[in-house]
Amino acid sequence: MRHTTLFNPAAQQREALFIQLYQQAFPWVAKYISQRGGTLEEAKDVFHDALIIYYERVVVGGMVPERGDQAYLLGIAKYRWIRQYQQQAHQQELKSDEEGWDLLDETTSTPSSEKVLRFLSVAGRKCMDLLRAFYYDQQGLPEIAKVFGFSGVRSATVQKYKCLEKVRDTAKEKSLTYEDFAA
Amino acid sequence: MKTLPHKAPQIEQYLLQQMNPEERLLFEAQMVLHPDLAEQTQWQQHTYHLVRQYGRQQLRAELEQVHHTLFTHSKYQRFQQKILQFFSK
Repeated sequence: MRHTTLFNPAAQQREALFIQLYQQAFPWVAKYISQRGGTLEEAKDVFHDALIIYYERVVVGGMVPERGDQAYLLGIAKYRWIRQYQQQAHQQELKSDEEGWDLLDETTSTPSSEKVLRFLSVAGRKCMDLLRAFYYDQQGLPEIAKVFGFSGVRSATVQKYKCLEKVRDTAKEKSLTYEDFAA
Repeated sequence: MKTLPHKAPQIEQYLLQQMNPEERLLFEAQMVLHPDLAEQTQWQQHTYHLVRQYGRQQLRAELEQVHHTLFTHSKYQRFQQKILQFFSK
């Protein structure tokens, strides 16, 4: 399997898209957060949260933001900033999370699953990249086959399942080991 | 009982809601009969979760790179000035 960073059109498209969205929406986010005493670093953090949600919902999920990309990104960034950095009093201004923008704060991430992930990011990187392309980025199999250097869709599918099983078995084995150490 | 190494595609159909109601029912019955299948299914669910976490981590790293590009390349100087003026007060 070739490494993905050689030539990955999807990664290049993402970069171009993010640069464009940054130029369109980040000035609004930066202005909003600076006016409320926030720092550039904080503005960056909440903007990145917003872009991740945008990527999952709009780019991959196919949702169309009602009031446009810029308003959507600013809306999430405001929400995330109030949630993370503001005092309790301001939190009451927040509606309940009807848009699902709290999704980045998943509580299911345990210390042992973070350790497993760190292990897999190194030892199982190629498989993780392949699985990411398929499940997270939801790229088509023909494109995945091309980028990862498979002969076709069929062999990409076979490899995908091999990777899934490998990661599953590693996760199981490592989680149990880490839990043993923690106990 | 030995684990079933080739069940990944079937487990995936179940977990990603790609089964019809009869298939689901049958799969759930199989899990009751074969606890190791139920266990594999649980671990596979966890695997999708790990892949999503990995995807987000990688995406965050890409965004850091984009931020770095926008705040260091002279090509984006006007953008940089516009942003930095908000924080200079």
